[in-house]
Amino acid sequence: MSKIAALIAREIRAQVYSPVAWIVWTLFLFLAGWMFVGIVHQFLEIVENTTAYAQYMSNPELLERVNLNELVVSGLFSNLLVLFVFLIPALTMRGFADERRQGTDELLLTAPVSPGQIVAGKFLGLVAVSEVLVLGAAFYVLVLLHYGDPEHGPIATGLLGLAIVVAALTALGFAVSTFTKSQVVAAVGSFVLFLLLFVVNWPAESAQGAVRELLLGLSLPAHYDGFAKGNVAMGDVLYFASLGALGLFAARTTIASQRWR
Amino acid sequence: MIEVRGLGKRYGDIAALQDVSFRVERGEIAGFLGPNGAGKTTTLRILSTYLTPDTGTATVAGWDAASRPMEVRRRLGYLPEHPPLDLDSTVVEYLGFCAALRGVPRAKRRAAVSAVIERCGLASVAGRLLGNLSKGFRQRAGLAQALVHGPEVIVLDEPTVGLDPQQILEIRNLIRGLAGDHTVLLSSHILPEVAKTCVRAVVIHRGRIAADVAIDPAAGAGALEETFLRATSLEDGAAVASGGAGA
Repeated sequence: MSKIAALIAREIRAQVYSPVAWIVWTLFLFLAGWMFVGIVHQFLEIVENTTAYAQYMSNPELLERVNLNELVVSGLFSNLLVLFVFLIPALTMRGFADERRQGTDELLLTAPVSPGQIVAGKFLGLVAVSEVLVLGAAFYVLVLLHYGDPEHGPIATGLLGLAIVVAALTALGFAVSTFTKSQVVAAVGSFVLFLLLFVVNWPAESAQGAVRELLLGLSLPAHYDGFAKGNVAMGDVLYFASLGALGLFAARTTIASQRWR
Repeated sequence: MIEVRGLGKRYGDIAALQDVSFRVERGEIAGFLGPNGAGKTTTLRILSTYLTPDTGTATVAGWDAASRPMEVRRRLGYLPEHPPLDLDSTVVEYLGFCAALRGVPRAKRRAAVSAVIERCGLASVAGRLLGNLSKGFRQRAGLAQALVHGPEVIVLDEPTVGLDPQQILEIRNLIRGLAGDHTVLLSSHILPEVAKTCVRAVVIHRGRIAADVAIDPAAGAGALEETFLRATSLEDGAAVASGGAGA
């Protein structure tokens, strides 16, 4: 256990000492802020228009349909998902690729730690760094809570969903970084993989039967929708858990097979 | 303490090792000599459990390196060809991590790290980032990493490469000080290095053992050089019989 703790601490230290993590966090805050401001302005416009329309129709109930949760919170969270596709590969690309390039894999693989412990330590360290992005997202939610009155339930599940997505993508990105010595290859590889999870359902419209179901079932944003709306389904949790488990299993297998080359 | 029997390893079509066998007794310092590309690093990587052999067995501290790697790793200190340093850590942070990874209990870690820093002459750079250190200090940090957990068996791949004569002398003394408590196998292609540090030399050439000789300290490097040149100029398959290189 203390070996895993040492690996976690080393991973966090390596990430925080390198400029990459800081650049990614900063870019995320900037882009998320930009999206947030845009979405809030859009919301205000809708409120204004609806107010005028409600007065014209003498029907104040119309205003109640304009929902802060649906329009702002859920909209913001869905857009953040797209940011993860671009930014998480930058955090996970060091992963194991850099160990290989620096030769430090020889240190890890000749120390009395199992491949499973290496994966656990490095993954948990990486997750600690990438979950900072979700803390950044939570900041904008606090702004909303201060000035508006959104429902708390969907906000909580939405943030939880973001944290789960970040963990799953980090596991997959780490797995990709175990396949190569090059950080660039690792970054591009995970980016393409993540993007594929976003567009995998596009041909579903023209497909039929089981293929259609499969393509729809693999889509990442479709499985996040429930979280953003406040209803967490077992299937969605299982989907992200499977992605994460697949990533960690692949990473462990590659690291364990290193000795047998 | 280290026993290698019939070791073979291929990389694709290239036979890196063929039927390599030798022993290093407990408390002995043995040199592993050979021209570049002879198979030294491959052999040491197998001993360190980083690679597995295709044929034969490597036994370290009584455990088979291929089938019981964890038992070997617990008892082994290993300096790879390129010191595996975390360049963005300080010397203290890095050695602390290595100690933890090798299972040194938390309570003893700080003492183990200070002791090895003292021993390897790293005190003046203890708080500096490894990435900012000179090659000599990096090499010493690599050596410190192999010693920090007090292993029974120490395997060093070219420990003095890239060092200046003064540093070579210091590292040599350090390694000689390990004799008795530790079993040491160090590779080198520098003959005087082995002649002055080791009690025995195993010569490898083109993936085969070419000579296995005791070193007579009185005879100096000249006799070993003769053995080495004779062994490495022989046709494949022939080997120099065991005997005193200094005789």
